[in-house]
Amino acid sequence: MAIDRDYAIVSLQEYEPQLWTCINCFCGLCVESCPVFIEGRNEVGAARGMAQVGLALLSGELELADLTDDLVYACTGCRWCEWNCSLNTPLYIKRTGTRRTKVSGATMAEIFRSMRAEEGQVPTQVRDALNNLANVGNPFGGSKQTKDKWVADLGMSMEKTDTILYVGATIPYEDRATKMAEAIVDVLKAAKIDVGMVGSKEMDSGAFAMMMGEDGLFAEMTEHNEEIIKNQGVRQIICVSPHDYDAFTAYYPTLDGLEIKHYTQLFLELVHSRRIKFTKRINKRITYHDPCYLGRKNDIYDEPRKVLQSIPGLELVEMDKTRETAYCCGGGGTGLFYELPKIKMNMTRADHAKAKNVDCIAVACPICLQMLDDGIKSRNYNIEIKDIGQLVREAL
Amino acid sequence: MEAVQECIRDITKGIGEEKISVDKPTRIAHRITHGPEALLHEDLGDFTPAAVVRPRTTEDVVTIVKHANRYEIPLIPQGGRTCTYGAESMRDGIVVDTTSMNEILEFDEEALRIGAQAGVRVVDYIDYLAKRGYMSLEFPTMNRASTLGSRASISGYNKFENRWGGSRDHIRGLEVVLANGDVVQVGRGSSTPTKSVVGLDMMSMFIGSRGTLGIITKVTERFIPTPPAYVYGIRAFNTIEDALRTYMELRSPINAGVIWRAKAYHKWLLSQAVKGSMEVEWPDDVVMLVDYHILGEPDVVEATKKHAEAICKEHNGFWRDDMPPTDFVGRMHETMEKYMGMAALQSERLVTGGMGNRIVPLDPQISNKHLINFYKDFLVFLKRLEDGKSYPRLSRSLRVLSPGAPVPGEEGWTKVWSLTLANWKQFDKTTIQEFKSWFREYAELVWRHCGSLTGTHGFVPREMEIEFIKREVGETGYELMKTIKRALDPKNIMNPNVKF
Repeated sequence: MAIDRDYAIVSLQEYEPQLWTCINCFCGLCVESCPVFIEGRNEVGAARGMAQVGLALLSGELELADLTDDLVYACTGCRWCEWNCSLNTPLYIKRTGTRRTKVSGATMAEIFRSMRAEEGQVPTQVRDALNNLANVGNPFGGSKQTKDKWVADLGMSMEKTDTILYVGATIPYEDRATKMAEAIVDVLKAAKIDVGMVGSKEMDSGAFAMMMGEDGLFAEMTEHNEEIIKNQGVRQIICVSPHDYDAFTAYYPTLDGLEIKHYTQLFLELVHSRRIKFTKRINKRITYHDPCYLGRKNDIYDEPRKVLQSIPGLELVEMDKTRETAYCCGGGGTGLFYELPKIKMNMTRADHAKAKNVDCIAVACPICLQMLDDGIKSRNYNIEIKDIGQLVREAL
Repeated sequence: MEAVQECIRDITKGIGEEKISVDKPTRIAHRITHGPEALLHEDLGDFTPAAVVRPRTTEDVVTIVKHANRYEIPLIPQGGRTCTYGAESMRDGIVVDTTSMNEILEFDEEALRIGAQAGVRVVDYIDYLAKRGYMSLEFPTMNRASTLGSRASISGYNKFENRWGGSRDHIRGLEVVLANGDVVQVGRGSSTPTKSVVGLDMMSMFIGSRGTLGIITKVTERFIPTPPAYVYGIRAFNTIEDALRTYMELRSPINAGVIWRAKAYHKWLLSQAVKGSMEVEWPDDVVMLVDYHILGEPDVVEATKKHAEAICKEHNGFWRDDMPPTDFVGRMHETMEKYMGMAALQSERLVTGGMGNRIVPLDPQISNKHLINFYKDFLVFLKRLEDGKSYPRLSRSLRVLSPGAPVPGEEGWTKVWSLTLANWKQFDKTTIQEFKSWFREYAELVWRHCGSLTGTHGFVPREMEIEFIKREVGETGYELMKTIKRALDPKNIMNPNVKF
């Protein structure tokens, strides 16, 4: 099935009404807390700046070659601008809003990246990740055999099953993310949940390709995954990564009717049904970092917190920028692969946690886990980074 | 090498290359503002600066200004750029983006004074005070984007202006970098943040100067303890006279100590607002609403509410079941503060699924003596905009959202806060010419009623500005302004597009 036009990357021409909408209004709410602006202090990387650049590209005042990597690849797709925009009012969104009609810096960045990809002007790091996605389905270039062996070693079934745990493209190719997934598997086993995996047949959900502006690859990957999911007889997908959760819920129209959950949502159900029972205390002061694609993008704020609050002894404290106003870890967009010198969101977020004097940052995303771990190490703070799955396993 | 390039090179050496951008996308991103002036220019290239500098300290600003002075390069200070006039950039100028100067510097609880760099966003300043049990008197609708320096620069309007006055009344000290690079601490007769008669009140000259006399780098403001009690009330009226008399009595100086705000709303706005957001038809006989905000000690607030209700009753105020619940205006305001105004809520984007609109604000200042007659004439003037006969092209590109929500200005004066919404894409040569004629007609109407064109937003089409200033302050007054400008900025490098 060719991907529905509404789920693909928009062209700059199609997006022109939203650019004009932003420039007409010019309220600047998207700039105020945009992590790209906060890091680099240059408005051109925030939505209002990108909208002006977009219109200048359309009018011919700018050429694609005028756009630096700092502009094209800085946005992490955190959706602060989209959430806070004057003109993405709830009423409008409810009535006529779609991905194509929201004013969004993330969408503008995807458009610019897509234009760069068409021209073959893609930075090496991003190109490598895209090539790996195209060749083996994950951005690290890890082999399919590695994934199948890892799944087999976990003792997980790759046969047809109602429910699959979709671990995504970073696992098992990145150590920290892999440990996170293993903890989630252990918890599911302890709760006696019948769940399988699809092993090496599992490709990236398309989230990475979309964020990197590779429309064609995105379409290929979604088609592939749809086929796998259908052939496997899947009725429920449990996602480890919020990016995959978002992709399945937002960009897979043919999966309508399937139950798609982030693993923290399932965990909370298991806590409530007492299939997860805690026997140990975690006497730590812990803050929870909202992943952008779980929080602002999908309104999932409470489930991860409730799971953490159910762990005996755990003291949950909030950072100043939390829930809807949470700061990005920096790993969205192309941030996981392509580091821009001025952008240090993971270190800034580490500072936010440090200000609360916590022992540990809890996360619910394999990308946040990596980025914040790097941020804490760069700052040399004595703070642990753990995924909620790891904390739950510790307390079983 | 051109002078501007040499100047940029020297500034870069002086403050570091990480604080300056010369790439075209960044320059384009900083050329316009929230204001309508850009609507009147077909080529936005006129606004594209040669560079954007982002100073972090007063010393950085001094370095920038000294180089600009030497090469005679225009400097355009910018904050959040949600102002409606004066922060647009210009070709071959250098934008001084103050938003990286964002530190709170001093907090004196005993003296109720706070000092901050000019680029601190008002929302952060409000939060800083609120966390310590205090209330900011700076409270613009656009608080999440505007900066403290901008508030001084535009002489901003604030939510509780009736009780506390505007930004000019809250600001108690400014640090300004003058055109020659000198740094001056100015206040009301002293550099200490209080009134004094030791020297001249030099600070007031910089408030509202829109960057034409120097670059504001630090602002000292007063603040107050958060009042313990608050009540809100609203009443409907069948006539403009009843509503405006109620509004004037509520906001009278005799009540202003406790009634911190009063505001009137016309059905032209209300019918659009409730239809667009609540899908309710506004009852045609309800011509205006008037609301009030009372803050202070609980017993005083309670007693004043009774007094306010008595005023409303005396002028036939009422509320009926066929109207939305009385808290709807409060909720409308909360939404405005979240979404920066009714313009967003009522733009074509929401109403017809088209594009967002650009706000064209009008805020004539009218004395109480003329308010009722002015208001009636103003409604006629605005209706002519939409009838398609007087301004056939403009009527297709500009529509009225609010014909004027009277809010308190100075004692005895009212800001008739009106909003029109423009479809920028349709602003062609003919539309622009019609707009200028329409604006001139607006100005004549205001002057006929002994008012001033603008109390806050300051929008006057740039090509009419000097003529209109002379109409309001007189030739001699304008010459005095020019004398001051020449004395402070002899090379005319400080935002030279504005006023001079």
